[in-house]
Amino acid sequence: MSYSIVKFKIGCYLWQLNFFQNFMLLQSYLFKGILWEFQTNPMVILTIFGIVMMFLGVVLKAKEWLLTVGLLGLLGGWAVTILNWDTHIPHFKMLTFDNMSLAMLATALAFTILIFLITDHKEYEEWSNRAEFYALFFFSLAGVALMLSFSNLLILFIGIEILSITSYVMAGFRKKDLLSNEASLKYFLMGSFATGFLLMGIALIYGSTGSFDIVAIHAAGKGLGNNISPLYLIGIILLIVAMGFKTSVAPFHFWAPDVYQGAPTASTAYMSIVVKLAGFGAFYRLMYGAFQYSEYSWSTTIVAMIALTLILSNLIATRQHNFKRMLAYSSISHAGFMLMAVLYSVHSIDASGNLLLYIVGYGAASIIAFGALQLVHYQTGSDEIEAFNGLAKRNPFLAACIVLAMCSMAGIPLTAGFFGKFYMLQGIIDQGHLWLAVVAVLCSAVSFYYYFAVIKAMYLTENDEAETIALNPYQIFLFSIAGLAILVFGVMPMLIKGLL
Amino acid sequence: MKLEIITVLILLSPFVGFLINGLFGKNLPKSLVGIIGCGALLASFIGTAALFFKDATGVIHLFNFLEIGTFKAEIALQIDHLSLMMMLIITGIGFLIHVYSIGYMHDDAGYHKFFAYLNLFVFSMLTLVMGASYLLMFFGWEGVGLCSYLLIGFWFKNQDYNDAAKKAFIMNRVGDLGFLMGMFGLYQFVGSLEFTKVMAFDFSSVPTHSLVLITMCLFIGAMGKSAQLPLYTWLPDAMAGPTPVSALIHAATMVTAGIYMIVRSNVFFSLAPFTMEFIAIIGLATALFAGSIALYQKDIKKVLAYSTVSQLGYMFLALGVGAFTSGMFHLMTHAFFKALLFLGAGSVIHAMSGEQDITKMGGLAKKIPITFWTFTIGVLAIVGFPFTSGFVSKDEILVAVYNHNKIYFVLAFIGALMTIFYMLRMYFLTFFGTFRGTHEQEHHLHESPLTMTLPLMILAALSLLGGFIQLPALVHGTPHLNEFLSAIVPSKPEAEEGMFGIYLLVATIIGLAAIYFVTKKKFVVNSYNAEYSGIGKVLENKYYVDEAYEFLFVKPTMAASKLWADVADNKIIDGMVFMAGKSVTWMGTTFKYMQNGLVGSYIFMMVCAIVIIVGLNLMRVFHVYPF
Repeated sequence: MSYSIVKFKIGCYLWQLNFFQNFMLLQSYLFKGILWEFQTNPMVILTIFGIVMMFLGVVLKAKEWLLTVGLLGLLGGWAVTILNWDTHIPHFKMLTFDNMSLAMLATALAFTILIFLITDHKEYEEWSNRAEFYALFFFSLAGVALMLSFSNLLILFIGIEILSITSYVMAGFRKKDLLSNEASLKYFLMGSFATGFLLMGIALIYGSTGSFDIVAIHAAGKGLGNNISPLYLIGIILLIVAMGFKTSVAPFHFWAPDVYQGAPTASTAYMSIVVKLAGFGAFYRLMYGAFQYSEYSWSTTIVAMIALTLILSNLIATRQHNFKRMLAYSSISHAGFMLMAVLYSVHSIDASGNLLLYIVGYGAASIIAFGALQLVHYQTGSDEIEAFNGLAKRNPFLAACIVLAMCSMAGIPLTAGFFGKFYMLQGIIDQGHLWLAVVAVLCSAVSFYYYFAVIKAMYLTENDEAETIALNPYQIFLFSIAGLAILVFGVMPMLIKGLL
Repeated sequence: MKLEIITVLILLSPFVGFLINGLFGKNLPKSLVGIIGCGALLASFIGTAALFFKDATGVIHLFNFLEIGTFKAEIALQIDHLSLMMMLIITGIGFLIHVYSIGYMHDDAGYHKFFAYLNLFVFSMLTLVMGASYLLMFFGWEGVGLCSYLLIGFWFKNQDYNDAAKKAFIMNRVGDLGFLMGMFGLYQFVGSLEFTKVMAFDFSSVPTHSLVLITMCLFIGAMGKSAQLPLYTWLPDAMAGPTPVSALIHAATMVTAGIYMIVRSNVFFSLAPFTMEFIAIIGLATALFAGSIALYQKDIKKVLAYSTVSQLGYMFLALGVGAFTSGMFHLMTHAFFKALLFLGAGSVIHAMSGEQDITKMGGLAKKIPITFWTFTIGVLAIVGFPFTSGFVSKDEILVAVYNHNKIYFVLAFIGALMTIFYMLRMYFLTFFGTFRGTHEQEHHLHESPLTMTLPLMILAALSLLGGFIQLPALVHGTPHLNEFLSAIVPSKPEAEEGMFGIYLLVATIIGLAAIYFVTKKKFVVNSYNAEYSGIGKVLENKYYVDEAYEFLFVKPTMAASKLWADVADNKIIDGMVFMAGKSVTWMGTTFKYMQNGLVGSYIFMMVCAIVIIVGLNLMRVFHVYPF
């Protein structure tokens, strides 16, 4: 054997060794990377569970375990979210989980857990495609995670799309129900329309600032001062339009009542709580994170939208006889209040805490309202406010919880809803929008009329025909937790507000 | 355990009891309801005693309720000697009364409700005395008012009782308004409602007339809660509630809240001499006024109620002359013996199958011996028999009054004599002579169960010996209470004339008691005959104060409100309201048509909106106006 051959063989061997080592290294990097991603990005576990849920649907026997596995997945996602508190880890310059997004995501997951408890009901157990329904929640939540933590406008777009497309399907999940189909189609048509504006807005912003990254856009906005270009201005406005559509702010709210009414109650609850939360989380992040310095160009638009939202929704809500539709308008009016946080975010560091407090209070009240509606609807077959007649006698506990929820929505002191509204109003008054606060208070006064119509029906209207409503332990847990949250955060709002 | 944990547990324990009994009491066995109710109080009492023996003090910050600009509503508890003393009284006597209620309320259908309300009351009362700011005190103040309302109207099927409950509530509202205004005033000058800040504030910067106004407003609050002239009429009516309620709320604790509040605020009350003089006069007038009414009452609880009003008058008299500790001392001894008397009266009523008219009793001494002997001790204490608790505290007040103003002293002394008269009259009518009730009642006469007699015995011991914590200098006693409260109330050097008062008091009391025995026949026997005439009739009808109030306040208010209801409300205000409502409805109906269900029209409206928004914004930002 010549020396050169030996040399070659050794070389080959070394190379092989090297290759092998490199491969191992790569693999371990890959593995570590996945593990790290798994630990630091709640979106991963949510996506995995979404896939798991779909496969569970195929396994016949697994159907009884759907809810349990689903709840486990949500709790897992919740744990990952909580464990990342205060870490601020960036992911590929695309996502950043700061405390605001983690708190919002944890809230979204907590509310989804409660919504899952709503679905622990005969009506949903009869569905053949129940596994897909739960899977959609998980995929949708992955979109929520993106929307709440984006640091790049493309991620915002992808997040909104993931959330929207799952929502379209969830709205139409009662396949044989005409209203549900109509809701889904309407939502889809108008949603696509709004997506167009979103993309257009992103394109215009890219055109004027040269970046998708919100930090870069932020910096560009700082340099602009008041010398903004029409391109930039129209870009911001189109983004506001698209976000306004997602959060059902007037005059882009038209889809909400029709979709809310037609969709299955659990989907409606999800849309009115979690989707709204995600929408406002993203809206807040967008306006505060990217356009803080060009507030001059967008605050007036937001003010006008808040006023229009509050006036329109509250006035129309007074004429509703359908509980679900009334809740839809109520949810629009709450969107008006939540938008205030976006408005004064530029001037006050309290805005994020206030937004979170408002959403927690509003979500807790909504979950009670929708959970109760589910039970009442199943018993009477009707969504009308009349279906609540005499509920105080049919189930005193449920009626008491609804009273609490309605009081919180109306904003009566010692409920979380009061402090939510209180701090919002304080924020905009501090910023100088006194007349807007006056409008908001007047509209709030109008809202008492339709909230108390429900209480009146439950307590003052006799209904001898209806039977009592029985609650299972999960439902009792659901209502007690939500009711407790309303009371506790109504006495100690700082528990939430102080988080951020 | 740490101070914070014990303090919070003391406060929360009755609240937890309230929640358990209030929410689930209906399905729990009666014995368990009683155990939970009493256990909650016992836990609080043990905690309080632990704080007392460790001599732990401090301010415990719990959480911020709300923060607006510079205004901060902080939920914090303050443990100092004053609040510790009140807490001991509330939880200690409260516990005894809870135990008593197990026996007294045993056959009542609302047993669990009763214990839930009582526990809620104790929670509110503890909040009142433990709160570290006027704001939290006000919260407790309103809470006890609510519980008082609920418990007076406990037997709500009787309309008279409901009226009594409403009366108590409305009268208290008048006082509460004063308290609120006082708080506003205080905040205006001090900028905070926390005790520590108020006490440390330099009040010399506050103009005197403002200080007088603030203190007067606060005193009006005290008048309502502590049943002083002219807001006292609710307390006698409040006897409609079950007897343990009368003992706990309307004798021992809630009605003393006004005294607690003024002692707590003594720093700036003593800077307003006008208010102090006013408090003394009101207290004195109330003592005399209520005492004279008590002389001619026939209902055993009404006698005790007027006696309570009168004794509260003494406490305010003490505060008014600047003897804050004496007021607190009398508050404590009064809590002992008046709770004892009320519970004893409850035992008598229990034995008499619900009869409350003393002219229909008589000769009960032998039938219910434990009640009789403990009641005797209570009577001795309240009339000021030497060296019982009532004697020591009342003597201290009289000495302080003597040093302040001789005329006040004479009047207060006459009041003390009245106490002897009405108490002995009631005592003899109830326990001596021959039985005057129905045969049925006589057949049923029986001593109360142990749960009722045991608290009586403990309270009797306290009434007898409670005075020893602060014996006058004359018998070489040490003023323990003065030292205990010295951090809150600056003590005054004891004047020499103090000796004078005590001789006088002892001599007169013994002499008058002797006179009373001699003339017993005339006084007592005449009381059987239902008809009084002359001054007796006026007193029996409580000076016609209720009728006067009816004529002066209730009727004009009713007439005015009827006028306003018919004219202003129905025509003008309703007109505006309905118009607003109608316009809202009309607009709602109109806007509703925007929601026509057609996707095409929705999108059209959205596009219009976008065009308008973009157009207006372009015009606004770039100042381009096409028109």
